[in-house]
Amino acid sequence: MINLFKTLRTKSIPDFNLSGHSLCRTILIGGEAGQGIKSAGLIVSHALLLAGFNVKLYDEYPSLIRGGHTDVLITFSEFPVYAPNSEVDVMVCIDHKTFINRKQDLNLNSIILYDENEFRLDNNETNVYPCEIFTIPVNKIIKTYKLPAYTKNTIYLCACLMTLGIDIDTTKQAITKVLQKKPDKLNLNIQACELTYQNLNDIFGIRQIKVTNQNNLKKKRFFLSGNECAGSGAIEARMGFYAAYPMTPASSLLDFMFKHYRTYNFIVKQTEDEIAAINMAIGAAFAGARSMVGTSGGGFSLMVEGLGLAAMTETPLVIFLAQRPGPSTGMPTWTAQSDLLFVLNASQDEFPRVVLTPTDHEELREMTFLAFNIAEKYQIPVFILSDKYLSESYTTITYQDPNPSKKIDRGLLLNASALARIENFKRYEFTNSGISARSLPGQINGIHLANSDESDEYGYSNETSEIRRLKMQKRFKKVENVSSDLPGLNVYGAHKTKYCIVTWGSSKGSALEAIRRLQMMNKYIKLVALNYVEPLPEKDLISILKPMKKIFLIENNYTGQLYNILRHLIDTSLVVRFNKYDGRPIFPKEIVDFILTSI
Amino acid sequence: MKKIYQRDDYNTNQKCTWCPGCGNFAIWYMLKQALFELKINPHNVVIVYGVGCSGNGANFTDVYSFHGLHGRALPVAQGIKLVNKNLKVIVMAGDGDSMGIGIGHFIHACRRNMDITLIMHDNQIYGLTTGQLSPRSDLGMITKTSPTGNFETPVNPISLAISSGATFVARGFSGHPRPLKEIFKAALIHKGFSFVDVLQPCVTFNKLNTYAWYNARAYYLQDDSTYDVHDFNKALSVSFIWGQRIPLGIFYKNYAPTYEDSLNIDINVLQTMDSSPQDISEILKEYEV
Ligand SMILES: Cc1ncc(C[n+]2csc(CCOP(=O)(O)OP(=O)(O)O)c2C)c(N)n1
Ligand code: SF4
Ligand SMILES: [Mg+2]
Repeated sequence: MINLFKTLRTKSIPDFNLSGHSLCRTILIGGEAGQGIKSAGLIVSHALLLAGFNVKLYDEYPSLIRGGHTDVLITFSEFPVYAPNSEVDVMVCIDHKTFINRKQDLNLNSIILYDENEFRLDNNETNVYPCEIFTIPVNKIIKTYKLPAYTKNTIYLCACLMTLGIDIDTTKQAITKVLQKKPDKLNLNIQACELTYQNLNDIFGIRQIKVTNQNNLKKKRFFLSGNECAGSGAIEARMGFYAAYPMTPASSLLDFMFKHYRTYNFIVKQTEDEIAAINMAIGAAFAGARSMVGTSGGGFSLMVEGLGLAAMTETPLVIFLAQRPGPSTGMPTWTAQSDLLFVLNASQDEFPRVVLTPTDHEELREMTFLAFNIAEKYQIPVFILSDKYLSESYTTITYQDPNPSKKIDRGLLLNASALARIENFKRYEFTNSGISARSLPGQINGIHLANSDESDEYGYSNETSEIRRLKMQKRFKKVENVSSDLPGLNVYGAHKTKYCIVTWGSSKGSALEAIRRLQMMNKYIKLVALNYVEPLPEKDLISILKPMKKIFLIENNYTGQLYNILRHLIDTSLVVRFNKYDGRPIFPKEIVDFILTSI
Repeated sequence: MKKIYQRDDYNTNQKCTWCPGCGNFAIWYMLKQALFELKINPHNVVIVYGVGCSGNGANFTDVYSFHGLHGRALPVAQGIKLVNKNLKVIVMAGDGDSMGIGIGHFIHACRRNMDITLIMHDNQIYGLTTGQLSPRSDLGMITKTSPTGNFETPVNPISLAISSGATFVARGFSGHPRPLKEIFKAALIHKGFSFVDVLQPCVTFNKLNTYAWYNARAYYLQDDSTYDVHDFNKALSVSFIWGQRIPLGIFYKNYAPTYEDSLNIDINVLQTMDSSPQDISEILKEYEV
């Protein structure tokens, strides 16, 4: 046993049982990029999940493979965790940068774990932050027991879990779960775990975190990323074709598809570029497959012409766009909500589309499923707007078997016998709804032309003013009733209040956590979280916002893109805006502070 | 259900919009003839068109047709083929479409070797936009956008196709419709990516590469009975012949597994109009706590 463990201060370790005003606790693990920091985060998350907590994990990493700095933020609670919190309770500093970058997020009760043989925290630094600082003899343990360097993270994370009172069996189970795909490394990591628990037992071993609420352990829970949710939704919808060119933060969705295409029998194609991706998907959809592309803003820039082609040929198409900060390459691995106006307006001329903005992981799955139904029913392009934060963060969800009424709606798709009865098939027939029936290549009697040129009911090029007018009207008429297929407005929080937060997409989580905290301060706030922006649920929105004294519009962009849409509908003098545009997600604390100062 | 098609069933009721004498007529006519003679039924054919004079042909042939974007016909065709292997998928696009804006897709289509036929209407000019320089325009050619004569080396589509992995590479000429039909038939029968570069006089905007100009230079590789279409190096060296003499016929042919066969996923788009959601509990199991 090496007796080198020491604390720099003598305060006892704070009690991390959750109570009172803090329903959540947050761990930050930081170190050099490419050193398995995320795996460490996943192990810690799984240990907490096994102990009965709900967990959210968000990692921040640079756009490079080695060197640079990576942070994993893990927020856990017995209650639902809506967002990763920025206030850090346990900071695991595998490198010095972790402390330097995030010291402002520490509080009096935080603890810091680091190894003084890795770097030194000098007195100037530690005096400013009067929290508990423990040096963990990671390098000593490695040397003494001749462990390989890759087990270092395990020692750090075990120390971290010990401070929380997670027992060794749970930790080992979590390590096994996360590293099961690397069996060669599993054994020595388990050994490192055992040695850490032995050596640090005197200091941390007595702790035992108490989970008062056993309900979580009874439920079937899943821990997965946003892109895994979106991918599951697409497979649930029986997507037949997915095409993409790798681009963060949508790349992991492409990887997910490649993992599953053989089992679920669909085509996935990594294309030469995004132009090919969208055109291939349009071809596949024309031939009858439910088709989807995935990209980020830069890739979507290349897809814009293809978007118009889908609209013109009335080919159903789902476009998954995970936003990241731009312009140009921007900050590839960071987050933003700044492509809303882009997807709403991207076009040659005018044509309708639907823009879904799922607000959390479960909606990401549900709305991806929904997107295919809408695309096929209305024969239009449908967007799913995610972002790096939503796509790559992990959360705990409970999943019930789908409602038996949940249906795949392929829209007006003619089968062989229906086509046999048709003479002179008009693929683009003018109908009352604007929607006309589709036939698929290979079907007898369904031959037609899908034309990028303006065309008549058969698809033949036609530039007469009459056909042009009728076709424009047809395309727009199709979506007049699309709202009937969209869910009702997401409204949360207090009923009787004159204050309302408005968000769209991924910012909902932090807003929910913020109103929960504000409620504990007896400040009652309502929240409207838009999960689609086109068509805009104008009526419902106005009826909720009209009685308000103040409207807090919270967006992760510079110009206030939703604000620019809503300003025509609401009294702008009541609006106070919070815009963040530094590549980081909006954190609950920021919303709380903003609202406290602007109420 | 079976349907017997007549020769005329390959025509729509739409009027042709090409200039009288345009090389597109022979291509159009001979492709329909080849399909008919091979008994490939119109409902099993998809032709994907690029944008250009050739693309306007989308209106005239009565098979499943997709008139796509300028330069992007190949990806559309590949998407179709990937989800329904039973279709005969053909792409018709101009030289600007295939060798200019869409050249990236061309190279990738060659190396992917899907069972698709690309017919390039090679008039060495931009026809539809009324006579600008093409990446296929010969050196010295004067066009609206090369008033002092072209000084960019033309793209060599044949050598590019061979070196990129196309498994069938040929060149035909609109002025020789019968051999052109035979080349089309060979391309359509070939399993894998087949590319036919068709020299297609543009009588309105290309006053250099006329019927007479091509006629004076054209000869057929297959006239030499010792020419071995499977000889990659030979084909590559012959592909560089252009000028006083212009080789026509099949340059190169080989057999390689197609992309769709290697992928080996058949999603049966015509059979799977299923309306129940896919059960994803197995996927989620991996994430279960
Ligand atoms: C993205 C885009 N850029 C430009 C055009 C305009 N355009 C239409 S056809 C064409 C060139 C046609 O040349 P080619 O492909 O050789 O066909 P041809 O008309 O000679 O048959 C161009 C530039 C377009 N339709 N789309
Ligand atoms: S412009 Fe040239 S290519 Fe176009 S139709 Fe006329 S002759 Fe043919
Ligand atoms: Mg041309």
